[in-house]
Amino acid sequence: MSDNLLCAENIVLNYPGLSRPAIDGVSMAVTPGRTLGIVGESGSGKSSLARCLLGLESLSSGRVLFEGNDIRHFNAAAMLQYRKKVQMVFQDPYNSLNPRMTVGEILGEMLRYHRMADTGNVKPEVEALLISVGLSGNLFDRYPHELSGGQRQRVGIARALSLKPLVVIADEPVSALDVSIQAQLLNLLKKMVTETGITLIMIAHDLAVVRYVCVDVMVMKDGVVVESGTVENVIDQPRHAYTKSLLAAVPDIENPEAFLAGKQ
Amino acid sequence: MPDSLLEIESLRVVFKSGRDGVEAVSNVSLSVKSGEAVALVGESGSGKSVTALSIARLLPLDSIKTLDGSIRFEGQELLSQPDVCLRKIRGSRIAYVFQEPGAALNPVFTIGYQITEALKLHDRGAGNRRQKVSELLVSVGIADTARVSAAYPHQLSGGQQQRVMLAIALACEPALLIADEPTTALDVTVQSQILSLLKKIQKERGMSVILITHNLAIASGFARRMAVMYAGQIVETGTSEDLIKTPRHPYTRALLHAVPRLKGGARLEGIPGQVPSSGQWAAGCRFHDRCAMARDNCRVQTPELVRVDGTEGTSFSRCLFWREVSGS
Repeated sequence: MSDNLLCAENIVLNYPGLSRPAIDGVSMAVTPGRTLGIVGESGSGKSSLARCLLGLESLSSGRVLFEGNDIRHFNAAAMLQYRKKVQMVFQDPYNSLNPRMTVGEILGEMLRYHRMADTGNVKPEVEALLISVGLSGNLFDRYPHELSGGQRQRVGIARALSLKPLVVIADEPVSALDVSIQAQLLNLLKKMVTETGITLIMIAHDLAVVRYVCVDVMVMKDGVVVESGTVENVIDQPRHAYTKSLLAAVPDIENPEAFLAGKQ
Repeated sequence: MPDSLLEIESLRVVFKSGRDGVEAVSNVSLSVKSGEAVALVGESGSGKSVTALSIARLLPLDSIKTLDGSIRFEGQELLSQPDVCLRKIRGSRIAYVFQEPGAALNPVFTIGYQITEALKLHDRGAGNRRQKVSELLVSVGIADTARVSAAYPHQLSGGQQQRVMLAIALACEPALLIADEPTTALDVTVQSQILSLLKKIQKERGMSVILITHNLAIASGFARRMAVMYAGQIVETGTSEDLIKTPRHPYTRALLHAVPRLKGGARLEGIPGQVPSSGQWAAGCRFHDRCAMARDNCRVQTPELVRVDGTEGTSFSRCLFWREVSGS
């Protein structure tokens, strides 16, 4: 197991005031360059798990290991390095970009803070980043409100990539976007994985989206992992009853009436 | 057309904005037969919700610059009806279910009160409204009617809230139910339950439903016929089966290639560019700047909705080159 880049060992997370743990003994691991999808419905604990992996929650028990080291024991300098190596893309591109900063400032801030570029002039670096996510370098001086949802999410991805991370955690990166724009972004995420060898952990509620981007998948319900494996195995031969019911509920264009056949 | 319940003809909606206003819906025509389910499919800003809200004239009057065309429902012209008459139709003959049930329900009244209100407004079930409320709750799949009736909206899950909205909509046995993205805010398993329920009720009661969705799979599963909207216009209409198998408009085809499949499959092709904002439509064909098939003609000539040969008048496409979209 020494080649695991990021792993969680039997983590439990309690939020105050809730009767059951948000995460109840979850273990998972990703090796470098793997793509893992985490699917589940609202309240299943998938976003909480992402927060745990980022070290944003204090665990009731269990631990998160990065390159074999418990992230709780990181000192300030090590934590700064960890933040750089594990980056996040958020669901809502409207709320995750500072409305009072230009695209250039948003991306430049990352580079300056982590001294990833000549701090005097980050513009060439930022423009290269914008181009790498399929945007025009001209957007440097634009504010988020001047961009479409798809463009904003590309900026969100550029921000995550700006520090050359080893892991990107994307929480529902396309669910706020229109169908025609979703496909562009999913292709961008796939390209990012193949070109940079990055490890991607993608949280999604849409199994078809996970199948398109990821190699492995983990199905969560009520804070536990009910099934995991490669996407082909889990989607084509689901073993757990919950996975089966989830799959049966997904509207599928090739069998459009099937999702209406279930429980009312 | 005696069997048409609803007949929308050349609907045009312009919102007040600047000197010229913003055109949100251009020349939309759509008919719905009695007992039929029709899906209206489109992305954000395509005009599908504005079309739906226009039917019972629910758009705020002070924001409208122009509302043109004709909407005939059960033989009456709705666009010229005075408000008093419309109030009798709204909630009674035409009912709506919206996307966010949490926002559509009033947070300070109980569920029972809000269902009763719908009955009272239209003088239904006098004398035994309590009984009627529990029947309605049972009909939307809520078994513990006493608890739910006494509950406030925040005490219910999103799925239960949407069932309650459906109960309110069904209270006066409407002839037409307009469901605007009714399950977009819900989890997939709950979504399939709500839509299965709606389908069952539609069939049992012979009610007409207009389902508005951005999801082609939901549209084709739910409705036998659908209309695809883009940039304020209907660009293609036909049976769901035809549209999915042999799309006759490049936008429909592109949408089909942009949706990931559960069983895997080919690389997705995103549609280049962005979804245009209301009123900022391209000249000529409004899709030409994102269309892989576009030619010089498409930039200047404004395509009409033309009948697709060999479909007995069920399919129409707003593409100059519709014959080439799915081969010949």
